[in-house]
Amino acid sequence: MSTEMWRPDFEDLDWSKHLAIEMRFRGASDQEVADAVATAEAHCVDNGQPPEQVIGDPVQTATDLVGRRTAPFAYALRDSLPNALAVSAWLILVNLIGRPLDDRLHPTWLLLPVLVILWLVMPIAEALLMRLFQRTSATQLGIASLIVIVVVLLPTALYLDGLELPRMNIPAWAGWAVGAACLTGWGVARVRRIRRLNENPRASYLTVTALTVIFVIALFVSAF
Amino acid sequence: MDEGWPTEWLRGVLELSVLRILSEGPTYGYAIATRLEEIGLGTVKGGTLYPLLARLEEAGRVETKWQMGSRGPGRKYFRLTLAGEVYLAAEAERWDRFSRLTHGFICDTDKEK
Repeated sequence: MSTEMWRPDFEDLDWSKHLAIEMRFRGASDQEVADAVATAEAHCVDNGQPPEQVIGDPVQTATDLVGRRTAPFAYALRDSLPNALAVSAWLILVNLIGRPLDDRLHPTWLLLPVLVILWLVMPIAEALLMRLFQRTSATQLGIASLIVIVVVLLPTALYLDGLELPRMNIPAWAGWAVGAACLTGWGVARVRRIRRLNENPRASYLTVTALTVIFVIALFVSAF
Repeated sequence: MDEGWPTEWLRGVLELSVLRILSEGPTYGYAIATRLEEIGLGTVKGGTLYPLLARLEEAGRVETKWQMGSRGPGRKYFRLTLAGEVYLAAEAERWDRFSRLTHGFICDTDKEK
């Protein structure tokens, strides 16, 4: 038996992170995650043994604690929906503004598939990326975010191009560059939020919101 | 003493044992685990204990409160609610009947003779 007192070190913090990630995947709230991690760490300090030994496997613990409230996809869907809605709303707005006055409410057949792509592809990509990149470096996260951007931006770019609106003739794709930069930040912020236990989730949400607003304004301005 | 009881047995008795410990007063997870070990149920891992406590809290049988420790980290204290006390009393009675029944059947070898 180890007589040395357990103190959180880098390796053990990994266990806490792992527990936090697995709980988040199962739909636990920030409060529940923080509570479980703090309880586990206090237990380990009292016991003097590392968490793997006194608490057990983080995946099993997360499953036992949270159950299977939501599947990873449902979790990602719930979390991504506001962003997907924001982009979709902007697409509708551009569509209405860009069309001639007498044709403003005329539906564009491309709009529906694009909305479906946004709503489905974004959460799927996010869920997959979170699974794949949960223990990776910042560089790999950047690459992951770029994949999201390609998956999301390409169809929307094709869609806007397909509208053939004179006002949407974006010079030198400036708007898209800003949009891509914003969405990179969006992707990194979202994945980092789930990786960083001590990060204030509100700060991440604010970042994401601010980036979305900048993206919308940049594209809106470049359209006129 | 840790006799290494079968997991199935422990699963059946753990909830009531935890509630019984909490009936002695509010306490925290590690103290509950230590007490379970003292009464001879063996080492109960946090991964088993905390989900059980979470379920009890969700059912309203236990309530929790974080308290700062004088030394070391803050601790989450668990306290039996009124509903928990009622549940424990009723289930303890049922457990008594159940254990008598099973004991009488399993351990009474005279009937076989």
